[in-house]
Amino acid sequence: MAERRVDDYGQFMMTLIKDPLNMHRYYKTTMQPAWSAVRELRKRVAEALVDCPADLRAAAVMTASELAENAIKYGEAIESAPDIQFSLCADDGEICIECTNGCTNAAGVTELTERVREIASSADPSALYIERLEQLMANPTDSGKLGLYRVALEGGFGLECTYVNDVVRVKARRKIQ
Amino acid sequence: MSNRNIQLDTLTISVVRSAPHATIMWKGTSDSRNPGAVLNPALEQLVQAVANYDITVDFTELEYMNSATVAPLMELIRKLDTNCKSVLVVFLDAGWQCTHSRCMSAIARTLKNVSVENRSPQGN
Repeated sequence: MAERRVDDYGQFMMTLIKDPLNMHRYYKTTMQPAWSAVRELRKRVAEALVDCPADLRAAAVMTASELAENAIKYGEAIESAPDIQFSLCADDGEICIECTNGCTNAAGVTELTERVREIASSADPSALYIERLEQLMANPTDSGKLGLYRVALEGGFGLECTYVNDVVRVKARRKIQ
Repeated sequence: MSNRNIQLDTLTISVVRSAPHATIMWKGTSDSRNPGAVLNPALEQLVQAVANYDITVDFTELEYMNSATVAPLMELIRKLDTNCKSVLVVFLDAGWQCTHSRCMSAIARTLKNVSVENRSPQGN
């Protein structure tokens, strides 16, 4: 049985009643591309997963935050995607976090999809992360390009990315053990 | 003994000096969009102030940081390695800090004066 309510941001949030044998959590929101929205998102994700193990909750909060930050930094408002769409679903032994935004920078999206592919094909996410740290040490004026490596290594999430009609969708999935 | 603080929104970096030792404590959360813009020049001054000291960089009270914080953090470690006698980097032996501790340990092998330590959460 579902309880429907509208929160202070005029968003739609549906909370499923807990099933003691399974974990069902669902959170969906529309975000404006304002940096202050990321902190609020972390709070809402933590609330949605309040009864989950602490390490899973922390991993999901971090993943949600990193994906949202990327959407704000690299996304843009277009007719078919004027806002950032965020969703979290924990169900049937898996947690899935998805972030969708518009982007007409095809070169930037190509770089994104290549990074997702690199992470998916790597047997050792820590090697990718450490290699990036070494690059930062060698080039102090360089920055960024760590978030997705962090989602994979620290969060334990697998990543997928699609790009259709200038809309980027990044999905992070993790088994709930 | 002398103290100085760096403040960036909900992040506080405090420095306590008692020659020949200094502790640089990171506390709170770091989630600014471009933390390096504020931290890099402030940390550069901090490094100059603790040159030739034995340094402890303590992250155990850092509750959360975004990936954008990593670059200025690594730059701090790199400069301390160059300018100080020794650098001990301390992480909490729990949660998200375990991963960063392992990565920092790997990086420390390429540095001259940096070592990494894990501390148990208080009460454990």
